[in-house]
Amino acid sequence: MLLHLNALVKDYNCQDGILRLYNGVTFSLERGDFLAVTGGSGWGKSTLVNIILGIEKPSRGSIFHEGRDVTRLPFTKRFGKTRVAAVFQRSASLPQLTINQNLNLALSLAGIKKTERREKIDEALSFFGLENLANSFPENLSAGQRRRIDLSRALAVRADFLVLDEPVSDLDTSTTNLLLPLLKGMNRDHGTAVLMTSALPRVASVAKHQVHLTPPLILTSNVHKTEA
Amino acid sequence: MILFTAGLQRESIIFIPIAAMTLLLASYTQTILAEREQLALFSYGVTKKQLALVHYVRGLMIATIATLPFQLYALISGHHVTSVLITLLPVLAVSGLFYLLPLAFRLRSTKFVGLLKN
Repeated sequence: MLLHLNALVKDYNCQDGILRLYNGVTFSLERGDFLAVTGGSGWGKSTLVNIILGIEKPSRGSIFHEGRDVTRLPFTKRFGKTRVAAVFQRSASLPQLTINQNLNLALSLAGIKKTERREKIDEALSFFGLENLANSFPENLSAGQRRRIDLSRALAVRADFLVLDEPVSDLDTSTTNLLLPLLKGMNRDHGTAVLMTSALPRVASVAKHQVHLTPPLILTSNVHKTEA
Repeated sequence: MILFTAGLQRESIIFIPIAAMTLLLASYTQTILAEREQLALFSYGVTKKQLALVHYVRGLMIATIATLPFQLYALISGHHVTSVLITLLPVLAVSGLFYLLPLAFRLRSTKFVGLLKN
């Protein structure tokens, strides 16, 4: 099993008291699977991505990778030899480098040999129809193109596991319609396990499985304290 | 240690806070540009510790270039290379740390995670 989340709980201190985002989220993801995590705005979809990637820590519960408890491990040690790529809500590329150079850097950081990089980059750009943009700078691209660049990076590094946080949140309908089949194709053709969050049921429907988050709960209220 | 103390002349001690504060200011004014770069590197799988190291090394490089005229002047004036280096190294090290400070606070705060969202 690639990933297993067991009874995950995340509490936050907020103005109204303790905000409990999840009260025991449990689900599993196999290799080659495609899972969508759905829920409303502020229900903790991005936080769940961060917890899976080790950027944030859960309040309770465990995360297992290949049967190994990795809850307390940092991202670099969390997934062992499994290549993980993350695409966050905010698309990020180094502005001073071209798309080609950005991908080259990402592959270099992923430990891919120089001789293999060219072929992988060309293949990834071609898969997402971005061959003509290889020498463009990120600032000259549209939001949809930047999102496809993010995905091509994930494909180029041969990610076994792709984590996407709201991949179409800033895209129009036509770009979303273009992107979703590509994402599905990446999962089907390359066997990449995909975990995607989305507030939109139409977007989530491309996944094989779905997990619905519940609205957060306010456990203790500070209202009486402020009134006193 | 004697050499180290000897190298730290009174003038160079004054130089440390000046260089450090200048680098701190430089780091603050670079925040928006640096954030974009750090987010990109973070997305590429670079860890927070590695980001901090990159930032520290950049601070060292800026401090080295900024103090280059003083280094050259000291060498031309007949000071020994070792003496110049011993005077300069604490200045560079402290400057690098001050350049790193804003990023270190940012990385530790929840705001950095918030930057990953639109």
